[in-house]
Amino acid sequence: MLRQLSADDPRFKTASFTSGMNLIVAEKRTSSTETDSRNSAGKSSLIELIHFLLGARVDKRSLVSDRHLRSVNFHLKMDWPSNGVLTVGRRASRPNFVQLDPDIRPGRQEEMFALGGPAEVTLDEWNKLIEKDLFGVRADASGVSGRTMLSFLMRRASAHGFNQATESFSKQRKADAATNLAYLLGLDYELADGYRKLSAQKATRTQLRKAVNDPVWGRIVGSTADLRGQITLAEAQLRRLEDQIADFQVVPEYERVKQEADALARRIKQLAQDDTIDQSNLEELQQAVTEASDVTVDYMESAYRELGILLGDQVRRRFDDVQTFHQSVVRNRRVFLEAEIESLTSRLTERRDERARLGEQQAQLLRMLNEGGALEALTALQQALAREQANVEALRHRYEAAQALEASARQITAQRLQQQQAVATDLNERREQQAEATLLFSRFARELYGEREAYLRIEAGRENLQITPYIRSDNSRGIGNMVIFCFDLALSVLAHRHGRGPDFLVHDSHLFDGVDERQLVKAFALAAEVSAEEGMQYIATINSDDLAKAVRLGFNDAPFVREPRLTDDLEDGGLFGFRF
Amino acid sequence: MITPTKGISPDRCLLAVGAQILMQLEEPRTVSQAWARLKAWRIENEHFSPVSFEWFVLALDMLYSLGAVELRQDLLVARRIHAASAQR
Repeated sequence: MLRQLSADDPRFKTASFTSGMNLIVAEKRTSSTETDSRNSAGKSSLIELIHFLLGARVDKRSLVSDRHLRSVNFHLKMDWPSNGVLTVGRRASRPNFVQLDPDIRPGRQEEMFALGGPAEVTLDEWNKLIEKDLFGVRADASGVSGRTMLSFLMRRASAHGFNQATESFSKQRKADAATNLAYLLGLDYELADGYRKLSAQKATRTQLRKAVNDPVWGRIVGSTADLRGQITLAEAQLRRLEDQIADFQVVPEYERVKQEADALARRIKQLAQDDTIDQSNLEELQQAVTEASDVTVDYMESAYRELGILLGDQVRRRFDDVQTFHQSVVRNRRVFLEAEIESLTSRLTERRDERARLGEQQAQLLRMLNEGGALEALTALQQALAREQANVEALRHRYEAAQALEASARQITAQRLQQQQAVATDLNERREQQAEATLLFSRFARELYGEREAYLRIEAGRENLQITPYIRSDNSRGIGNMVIFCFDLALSVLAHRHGRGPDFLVHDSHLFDGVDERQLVKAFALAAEVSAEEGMQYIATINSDDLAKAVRLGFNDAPFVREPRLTDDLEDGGLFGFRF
Repeated sequence: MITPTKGISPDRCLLAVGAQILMQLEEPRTVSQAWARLKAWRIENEHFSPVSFEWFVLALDMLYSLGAVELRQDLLVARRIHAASAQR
């Protein structure tokens, strides 16, 4: 139960509530001109503030973000299910924290030296506490949100909460709303949440589909056909590398062996060059041997003449003497030449042998180098293999993703059918819960409109759990609002009865706009009766002229009207006590 | 031919070869020995330009005509030439 809404700004008009029915009245004064709107009195602001204190998110457009209100501390005193009275404080300049007095976080009371004083908790923590204590939501429940459920129990005009009974703000995702309503109505919300998950899946799939069609993003995922080809190629490459590694023989000291082979090659080449020189010498010598034994010595004369010119009288001998000397020296010429030839031949043979030996050695080394490789080469191969393996893995993942994407459309359709079937079966087996809700709703509708066709239909739809409150009518706006009134009342009663919701229901005066005054009287009477009956609290804001109409028809407002009475004509008449 | 020319490198002109032969004749030697020792000396001292037996004989002829060498009982003998008599 909500007890008091206050602020540390002295101009703010503290609002107090009691159990049962509470009316906050906004008066339209005679002095008001046509252009004055009663909106400035603060009826909707009251509800916005309660939401703010019960953990609503704050953004730039929020009421409390106004520069006049940013630093004002607002307080809400309320009954907390297990702790008696709790005071919540929050201000917009520190939007992510609330002050709780006492500290109601679980485990705090048991602490030996618990001070029991105020504690600052984060907004998330506060919302968790609301879900746990006010709505009895399990910590691990998915799809159910305390904020969403509060927005059904305190519809906000600013969020267009009065458009439809099953929507707490315009363009709310149906599956989201249905899951929370199912929780409040006592249906299997987790089953209903299946719809939400499916639609999330479908949304993801649609996004992915778009991405695949995009020329740039498409390359990241790719089509299954392309990927299959790529995988085949990559796997072939992988096998090739694996074979290479399996056959690889490590040659120890590969580098040294290679240098040795190079040295051999150089040596062999050198030998070949030497052979060429010796061979030509040999040929010359052989030719010289076979030539006529007595060579001409004509050149000697010319040489001698030159000597005489160069060295003059240093030449001691006569040419004839020299010729004699020459003859005797060359007498054994053949012998010398043959010795020469022999040594050349033996050198050539030696070299041939060496060449053969070296060639064999070289062949052996080269074979070794060819068959095996250095350890470094093996490591490099293994690195390449690892890269290729990773590549294949990545391709396979992408293939799976692409395949999943192509298959997911069919899967989602199939899952939808399964989901629908499961929900339908579940609803069939929950006749009692359904009946309780339906009976409650139609009882409220009858109280307002008498014997008219009215029901609450709950069925398993294709895309979500469909909850349809219905009162037969000529489809006027007024009756639409009363459908919401009956629905909210039934919802809050059911939730409260079974410990799935708090004991308060708050209605903005917008709900009563355009409602026939006879229905208004009946609605107020019903709210007073039901809240007393169920031990609940009903809070409504109302314009004084609407209330006056109801009073004329016999509604006794005296026990229900609470402070403050808001007006719109004076500077300080509104909820905040000043205009901004 | 006797001194180095375009076609004849300094280490195989007849004067150089002659000097090399004289170095082998610190003792009287046979023609074969002189020839063998000359070849060995040339390899040892990295004189790789070819010197054939003909060339060797020519160098000997030159030495003989200069009076630096003579043949005594088939042994080659180096003869000391006095500088004074050489200037005569």
